Amino acid sequence: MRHFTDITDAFAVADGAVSSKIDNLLATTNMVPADVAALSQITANAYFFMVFARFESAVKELTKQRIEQMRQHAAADDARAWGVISHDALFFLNHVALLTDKGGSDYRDVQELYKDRNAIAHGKFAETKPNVPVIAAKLSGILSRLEGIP
Amino acid sequence: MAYAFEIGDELPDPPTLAEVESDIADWKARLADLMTLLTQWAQEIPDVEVELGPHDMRERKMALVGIDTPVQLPSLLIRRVVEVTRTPMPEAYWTPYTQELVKRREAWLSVMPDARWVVGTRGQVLIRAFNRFETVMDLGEVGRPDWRIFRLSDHEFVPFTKTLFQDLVKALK
Repeated sequence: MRHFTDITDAFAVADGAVSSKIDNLLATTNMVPADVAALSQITANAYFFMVFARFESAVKELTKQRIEQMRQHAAADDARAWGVISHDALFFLNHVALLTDKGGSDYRDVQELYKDRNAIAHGKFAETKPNVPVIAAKLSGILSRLEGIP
Repeated sequence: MAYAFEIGDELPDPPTLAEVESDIADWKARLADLMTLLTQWAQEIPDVEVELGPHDMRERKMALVGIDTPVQLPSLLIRRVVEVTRTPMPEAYWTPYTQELVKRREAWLSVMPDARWVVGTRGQVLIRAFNRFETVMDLGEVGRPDWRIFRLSDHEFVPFTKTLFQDLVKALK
């Protein structure tokens, strides 16, 4: 998960603080009020969103380079098609589709995580609590494979 | 209200009752297996007692399909005697069996289900002790659980082994 270790380290600190807070409450009162339990949900969603944002930005940088490269080096017919593709006007999942097959497992994994990212972007929480280190590892693996494209 | 700004920008499909019930049954089974294993491992350590207890499962996905009573899952409480102090009693209080006062102090460790539906794992369990907590996550596939913990120091997901678990219990003080 080399692309995101600083974010997962920060998350570990935040999650640790929330867990300690919950521990202390359980030790003294034997119950955890809803707003404290929500802290865990919020930190997980926030750091997940940040991991995904960095992933998005990295992907868009890769496609920028690829489009530029193809415009200059592709055969005439293809170069025209690449000339028409506007980097900034592409939907995010089409950025991903430029770098990896739409039917492949990497594309599908990104698509799944993108749904959760959108729930947060629309002001809600992800349907289920994100496990930040696992997601960071998964996206880092995908990004490494996307970077491997010549 | 959801706006589709982009392709793939839609919110997730709603879950079905059948899916959720089948997920819950599978989760219960995996947890039962895990608790049995942990009980075996814990009982190998001296001065340890293991209690199986209930835990209520209430997750949002259940409410979304109309399940509004909590489902009962297993949880474990592991108690270990960590300190024994013996104080001699005055002779006047001696009996044929007791000449000293023995106090046993216990430390505890609990293993509780955290959540079944987590983005990135097939469910996770929380191990808690005083000032210590670990999230044990199932990173396996259907029919093949693979319980792991995240070791922050080297950013690796390591298998949750007997040694690892027993070390947690032995570290209680």
